[in-house]
Amino acid sequence: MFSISERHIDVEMLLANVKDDCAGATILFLGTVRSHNDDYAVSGIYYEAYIRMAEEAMTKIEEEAVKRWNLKKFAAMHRIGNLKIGEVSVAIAVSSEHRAEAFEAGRYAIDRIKTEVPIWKKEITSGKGGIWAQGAPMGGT
Amino acid sequence: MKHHYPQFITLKVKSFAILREIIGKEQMTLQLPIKDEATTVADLRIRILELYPAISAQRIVMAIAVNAKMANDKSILNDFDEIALLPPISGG
Repeated sequence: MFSISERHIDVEMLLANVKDDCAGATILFLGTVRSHNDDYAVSGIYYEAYIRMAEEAMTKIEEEAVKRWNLKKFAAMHRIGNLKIGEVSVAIAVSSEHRAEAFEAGRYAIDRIKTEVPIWKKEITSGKGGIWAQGAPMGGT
Repeated sequence: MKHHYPQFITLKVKSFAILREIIGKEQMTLQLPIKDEATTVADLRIRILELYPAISAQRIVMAIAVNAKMANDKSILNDFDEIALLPPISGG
């Protein structure tokens, strides 16, 4: 399950979506907006997405993770719009029989989101207005 | 009887992030001439880079999706395709 929304990410709801009586492990990853990047201050982040393509890319990542680690459940959400410092921009929850698979699958999912899902961030800075983050070319090079 | 065939294909072009800011709008309609062999993503790329020289000047790597699938320069374009111009991604 994956969704992109301008609304606050409800972490409790995300965890409820991966609840499974056969799971012995559940991991939750949260990406949050931090106040600095390298040597400059950041006051917030603006996110935008090509939603149609992002949802397809995430479904593929989910299917591959579930199959590879035999996961019980997988759920992820990504925020778009203007986020403040400390707010959750991305959340991934994974449940599996044992902890090793859950940790590995969670790491795999966030790494692939960052390189394959068409979402962009602009760091809002005091002086220059904003800086689009350097990213990964779509389709790889 | 004489038929009149359209001379152009019409594309709906979306752009995102820094490319959207350079182009100045989220979506535009673009027409490309129909070629004998086929009109491709390479033709579209040339046209976009001519219209918006800042993309090359700022050395932005621009990927192009056709109907929400990643395309390459040989991909053939058809009338009313949905094009997306995608700069390097940075979600998370």
